[in-house]
Amino acid sequence: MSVNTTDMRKIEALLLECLTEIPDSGERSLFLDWACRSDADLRSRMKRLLESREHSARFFDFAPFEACEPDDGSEDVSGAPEVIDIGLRIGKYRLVRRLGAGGCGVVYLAEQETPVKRQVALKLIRVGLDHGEVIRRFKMERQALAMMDHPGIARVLDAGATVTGRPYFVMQWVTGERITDFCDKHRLSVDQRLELFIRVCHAIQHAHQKGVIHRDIKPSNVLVSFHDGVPLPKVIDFGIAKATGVADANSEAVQEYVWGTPNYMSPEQGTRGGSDVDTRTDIFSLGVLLCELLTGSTPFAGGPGSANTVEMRRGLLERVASAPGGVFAKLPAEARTAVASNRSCGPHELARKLRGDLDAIVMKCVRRDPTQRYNTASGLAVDVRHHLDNDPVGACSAGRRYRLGKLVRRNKLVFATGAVVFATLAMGFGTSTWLFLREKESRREQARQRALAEQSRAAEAALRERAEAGEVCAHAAVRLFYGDLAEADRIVANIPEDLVPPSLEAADLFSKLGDWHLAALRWPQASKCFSLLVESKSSVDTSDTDSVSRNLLPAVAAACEAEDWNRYERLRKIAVQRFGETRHPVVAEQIVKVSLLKPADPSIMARLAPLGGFISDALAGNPTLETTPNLKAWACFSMALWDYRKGEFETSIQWAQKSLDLEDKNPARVSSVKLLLAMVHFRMGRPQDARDLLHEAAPTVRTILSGDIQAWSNNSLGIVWPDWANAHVLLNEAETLIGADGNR
Amino acid sequence: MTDDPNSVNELPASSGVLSGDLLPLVYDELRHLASKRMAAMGGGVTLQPTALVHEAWLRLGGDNERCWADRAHFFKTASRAMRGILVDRARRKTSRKRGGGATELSIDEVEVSNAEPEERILMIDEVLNRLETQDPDSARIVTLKFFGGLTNRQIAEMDGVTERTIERQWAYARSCLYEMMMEECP
Repeated sequence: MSVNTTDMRKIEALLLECLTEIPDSGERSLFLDWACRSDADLRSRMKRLLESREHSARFFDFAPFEACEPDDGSEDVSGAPEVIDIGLRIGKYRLVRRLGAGGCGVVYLAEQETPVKRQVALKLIRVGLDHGEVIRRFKMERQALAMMDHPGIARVLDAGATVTGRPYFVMQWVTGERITDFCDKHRLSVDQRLELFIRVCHAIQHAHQKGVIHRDIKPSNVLVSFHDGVPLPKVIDFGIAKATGVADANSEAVQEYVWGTPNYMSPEQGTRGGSDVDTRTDIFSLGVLLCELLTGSTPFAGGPGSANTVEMRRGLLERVASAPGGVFAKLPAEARTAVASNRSCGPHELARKLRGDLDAIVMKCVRRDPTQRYNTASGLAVDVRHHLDNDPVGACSAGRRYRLGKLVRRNKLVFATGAVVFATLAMGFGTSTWLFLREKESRREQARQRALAEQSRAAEAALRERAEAGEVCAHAAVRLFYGDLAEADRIVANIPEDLVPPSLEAADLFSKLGDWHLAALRWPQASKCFSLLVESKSSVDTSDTDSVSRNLLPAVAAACEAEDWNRYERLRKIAVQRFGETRHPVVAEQIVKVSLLKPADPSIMARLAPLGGFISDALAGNPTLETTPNLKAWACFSMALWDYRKGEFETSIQWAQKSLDLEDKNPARVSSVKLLLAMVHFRMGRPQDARDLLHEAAPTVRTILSGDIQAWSNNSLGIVWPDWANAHVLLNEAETLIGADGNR
Repeated sequence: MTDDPNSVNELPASSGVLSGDLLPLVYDELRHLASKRMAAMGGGVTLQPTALVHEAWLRLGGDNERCWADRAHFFKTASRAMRGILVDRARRKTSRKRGGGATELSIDEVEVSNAEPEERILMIDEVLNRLETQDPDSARIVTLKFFGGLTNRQIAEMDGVTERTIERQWAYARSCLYEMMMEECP
């Protein structure tokens, strides 16, 4: 039997695998003997391969890339590719020069030309991320990001993807050095560093209140520069961590990537799904940042390493934080001197400064359990401020000695004399009470901050939901555009009604879907769509014209046809609140009409009173109601309805008569006026007149109602379908009032 | 408009004619990326060639819609490029260590088991040249996996075999290479 070389290789590989899997050396040897019984060369070769297997595994077990790390980083960075990027246009931005590169991507200074000419920072994200997903996530975040407005925060302006699919972000361009470098370069003292840190906290707090969590706070994302001699920090990259998923240890994207130092990541960022991430995640990172500002190192010696995701996640959960004092003490002596000198003090002085408050503050930030951390960034800032002012800090478990120590440090001079020391001892009880009160105040402040945190978490959730609803609407609008109404309708069915976005897009969407349901006489669905149309339109268009109020007509009509009286009440409330102060006669007429289709309670009547006066003035020519006879006739009808609901029957009859006398004959309105008159007569004790009027009007209305929706409208007569729905409501009311026999 | 139009336009659309044209392109791209990354990261951070190769793939205009043959071919090419880059670097580094004199490192100058990583790379490269003539399949696995940093899974998907097959081939190829080195300097 002849075997070719390729097959022979395969056989050898298989043999090697079999041999490796036999644990017992004796058995292995027997197997080898048997397998190579006719080929001594093969046997010796297999034996050597087997023996070298472990050595070879070890020999190959290293990352060749690391081994080849050049001695100095700039080695062969020069070369053509550097220039390629510059001058390129990405979207509406032109790359001007490279600002830097990091684990996340390359940052360029870029120029935007439209709509405004300005310089921005453009961050080209490393590849491997699904750019569709990145951009989708960014868009969800956009509304929240847009609401941030703080001098300590660099705005993220835009996001997109290059033609080759690399996602990019556009940010306000910030000049400055990373906070740690800045502090060292200018040899800021511990107190100066703390002042700076407080400003960072305030910026983060602002974002949290707007519902935005940074998720990736680290020195390179906090840039500092002097403004009028004062160092001011600016936090960059808000929203980017979330959009790219790089701050989530489980993210697919991350697995492919080089890990920077995960030191700034909180334990919950390593848990599955990262769903526990909230504002306190940023508190954690702030604590790590504070420690680094103070000691030059993070509280996590070594860190969780960069091995792989699983190990890193475990590392995040298991590592133990050291307090700044401990971190500093562990440094070699020379390093301690260097670190201290960067802080303009000696190593002993620095060690003393770290002990106590600052240790406690950092440790409170980096607790594994988020609930044990500071609840808010401003709570953290308050504690740092207390430390600077030598007030008791909330993070310290308050021993009496600690409190007294504080007092002594604060009032050093006074305490210098023995007499005062004696006096203090004598009034020890009083002192501790006083200190207790101060501390209580500090705790109360923390509690207040906690409440604030709850609020901002809730705000974030609400913002998220709202943004999602916006996304859903946009999605549905696309389906609508392609004529797929059923799908569009199915998509919007999932939006909670109170989250409908205030946009013209949404208004258009609901208007079209409403018409679609209407055509099939699906009243409940049509009613929902038309009233969502009202809600989205009335918050986006605040003008005092009938362009908004006229949308109430189909909404109210559909709600009445669907007999959804809760919705009717809600619409009536919107009508009264939104247009109660209108100075537009047509709007006033519409509001009175839709609000009084059903009897109204006194509060609504009170709100409508000015409108009633306004319409009657307008009909009397003050201001002139320059409008069609149809509108004028409706205005008279509204007045009749208004007086009827007020119980002023005589004037109601006059208005009704005026409406009937006008030359415009809209059968729907004529029927409505007759039905209204029927009720007036009945109330005035003239049941026969009432019945006659009801007999006259009812058949017309019923005939129309039994037909399809096309028959409800008649352009040449100026009839729109809600007119008949109005008549229908009044017909029901009149029949109930006058009696079913009125029907005969 | 792309971020690198020169490269993109030069990448042929189908897999038929690539090989010769693609290598220099990929090589430049990878070398550039590698050095940038090194400069940006400083020490103590593992740089994964996979990420690099992947990045090069996208920079050169690849995307997921492109046919798989292109992608497979690309990774093969990229791994060869990576090999070239790494060997270059290792050579520079060892020569610097030896005072800049010797540029070629011969296997018999070092003891296999105690070799420094950069020396290992040079040794592997040298015997790999020989393995390529004797057993191209094994050599290919080594290039993809060791130099290209591809995972067993990626290679398996590319070849349409199981991951276990790749693991077997890798173990075998590794042992063969080691054997060859030991033969050179026992």
